[in-house]
Parts: sequence; structure tokens; C-alpha cells
Amino acid sequence: MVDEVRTTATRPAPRRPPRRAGERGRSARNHEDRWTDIVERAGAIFYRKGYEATSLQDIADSVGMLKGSIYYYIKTKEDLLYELVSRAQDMFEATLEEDGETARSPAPVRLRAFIGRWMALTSREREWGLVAEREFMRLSRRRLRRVIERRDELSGYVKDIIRQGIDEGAFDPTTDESVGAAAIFELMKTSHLWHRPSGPLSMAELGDWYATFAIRGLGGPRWHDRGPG
Amino acid sequence: MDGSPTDSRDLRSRLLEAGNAVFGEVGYTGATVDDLIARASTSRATFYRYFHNKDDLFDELSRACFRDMRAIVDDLARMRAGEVDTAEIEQVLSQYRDLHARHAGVFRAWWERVARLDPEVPAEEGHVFNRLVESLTRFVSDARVESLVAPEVQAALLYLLVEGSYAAVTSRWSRIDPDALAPTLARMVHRTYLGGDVPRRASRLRLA
Repeated sequence: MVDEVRTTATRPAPRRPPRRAGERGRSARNHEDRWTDIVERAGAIFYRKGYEATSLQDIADSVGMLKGSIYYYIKTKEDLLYELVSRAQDMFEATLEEDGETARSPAPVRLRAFIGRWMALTSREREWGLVAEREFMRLSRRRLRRVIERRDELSGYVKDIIRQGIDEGAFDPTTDESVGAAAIFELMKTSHLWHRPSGPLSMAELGDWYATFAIRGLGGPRWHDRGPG
Repeated sequence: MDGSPTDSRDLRSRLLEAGNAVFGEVGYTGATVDDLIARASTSRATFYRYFHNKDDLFDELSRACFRDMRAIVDDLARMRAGEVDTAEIEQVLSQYRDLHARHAGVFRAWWERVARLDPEVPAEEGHVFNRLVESLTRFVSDARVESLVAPEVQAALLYLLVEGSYAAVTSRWSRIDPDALAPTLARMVHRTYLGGDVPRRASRLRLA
């Protein structure tokens, strides 16, 4: 039943249509491009300076527009953070999609595949992943609640895999699946804090170790991880 | 009235306790000296008799945190991979949880990476962390689990795993039972590195 839910994940619709969405044709497209440009540049500056230390002026300078013009797109700096965190969540939610074969596989196979997908994305989207993870708690209460709900959905997916593994006899039934899932996410999320792309270890290799750690760690007496060491 | 040594110790520790509580609740950036004196039910004048500013009080809290942390690291340093069972790992994890609870303000500020510290504090911090990672590295090396990831990196990951999990579980938005953390994490770590308590296996592990 878990599989059915997970294979129907779709690309989320843009959650924040830019103001004046009624405009059509080139100007609307330009408008959207401009908005994306602002969000991306804000992400780069938040990454470098941190959210608190960044001013709207910094962002305006980086986009090459007047600070006043930014208010056409947003009301506050927090709007930008929310957009950025939400876009990062859209990206990471896409890692819940499984192909049919994986979806029908035993829990350890699904877990390794998920960690692989997540780490591949982390490696591609290093900056956004880090900014979203580091700064999301600065959002206002209402937005924070929405972000947390979406985080819970992500960890719900891993909890489902752990439960499946327990049912299959692969994982220790005394495991608290919330803790198991939290541990797996914490491992994955530490990566962009210290991993250097130029270093000897690739994100994929690191992800493989996380998977081995998780599967061995959760593994009951009847299961032996068949993954590559 | 607060002239006697006992009273001044009381006031000082009351301010420190207030700092820890307030930093834990509203974060380091959000806390003001006014918040601290309100919590400690004392005056600005009293605050400035003991501390130069908020940073100064925070440095003091950090030092206390690292002193307590050293005790845990000492216990960890005495662990030998071949002899450790899950209960002992759980014990260390519980100690770490207590540390977190006792120094909530320091951990939150540290986690949010906002605190500006006296240079002495990072030096002490560096020392404690080096020893911590050394102990964990020896634990990982002794377990001899095959991995492309170097033992010292695995050791650092173990630490980040524990620290991150506690931070996540004790955060305002977590719905995870903090009591569930140590048992599950301890079993995961023991099984990964030492094969789990039952059935008892040799300490040298084979990883298919």
C-alpha cells in the first residue's frame, strides 16, 4: 500500500504565482524568470552570508535592480526564505518517487535506493539544501508549521520503509521507527555541512555508507546487508 | 544584602541559569540582557557586576558545558570495541542527553551557529572534540567494518548523528519521544559496528 502512494508523486505546481499573474505572453514569462532569478540569487547570498545578515539591498544589488522594485515581488525578506525553503522541499520530495521495481522490493533495497536518490540530489543542490536546512527555523510560525508538515511527510516515507522491513523480518521489531528515520535523515543532512566535493570521497560513496550503516543498524538477526561494502 | 560570598554565588549562578533557560527558549540572538535579568529576578546593575555583557555570560555557560562534556568523553575513551555491549552505548547516549538538557541554551546557540565566543572557548571546544573524535575513531577502527569512509570520518559522522538526532528530537517541532532515542540509536550503532548483542559474534566483522 505504501508503494502505491509513493509512485504517484508528481511534480508540485508553483506555489506562489507571482503577482500580476494575469499578464500573458512574454511579459508574464519575463516576470517569472525574474522572480526565479531573485530567489536563486537570494539563495546564493543566504548561503554565503546567512539569512540574518543578508539585507534586501544585498539581494537587489545582486539581481541588478532597485530595492524598491523587489517589493513588486515580495513584502518581506522572509517571503524569499519561505519561497526558497519551499522550492528546496519540492526538490527533495521528488526523491520519494520510486520506479515500479524498486517499489516492489524488500525494505533494505528500497532504503538504499532512497538514500542514493537523496544524496545525488544533495550533491547537485548543495547550496539550497544547506540554506533551507540551516535557516528554515527562522520562518514565522504559520509557515514554519507548513514546512514541518512537509518534513514529517518525508520522514513518514522512511518510517514506512522501516515498518515494511520489520514486517518482512529484515529489521529489528524493537526499533522505534521515528528514531530510525530521524537518524537516517540526520546522517544525510550532515553531509553538506562538511563534505568537500573536491575531496577523495564522493557523495554517492558517502551515501552508500549511510545506507550500509542504516541497514546494518536496523537489521534483525535474519538479515544480512547485501549491498556493496 | 548580596555582599556575602554565598549571596554573590547565588546571584551569579541564578543569572547563569537564567541565561541557559532563555537562550534555550528564544535562541541566543533573540535574548537580551533585560530578558536575562527578568528571568533571574535581579537588576541590570547586578548583571553588570558579574558579566560584561551577554557574550560574557554565554562564554561562561559554554565553559561549563565543555567541562561536563569532558566527563562523557572520558567515559568514551575507556570503552573498548571488543567489550562494549548495547547497554553501555545506551548509557553514554543517555549521559549525552542529560548534557543536552542541562545546557540547552549553549546547544541551541551552537546549533544555530550564531554565538560569538571568547577565543579561549573554541580552543577548549576544539580540545574536547578532538578527544571525542579520537575515542570514536579508535572504536570504529577496532570494529573493523569494511568501508570506503575513513574511520575518523565515520567517527565524526557518529558524533554528528547523535548530536543531530538529539537536536531534532528535542526541538520544538519534534513529536518523537526523547526516551526512545538512546535505545534505538544504541542498537543501531552496536549492530553496525559490533554485530548486535544477540547472537554474540566475534568482534572482527565481515561485511558482505
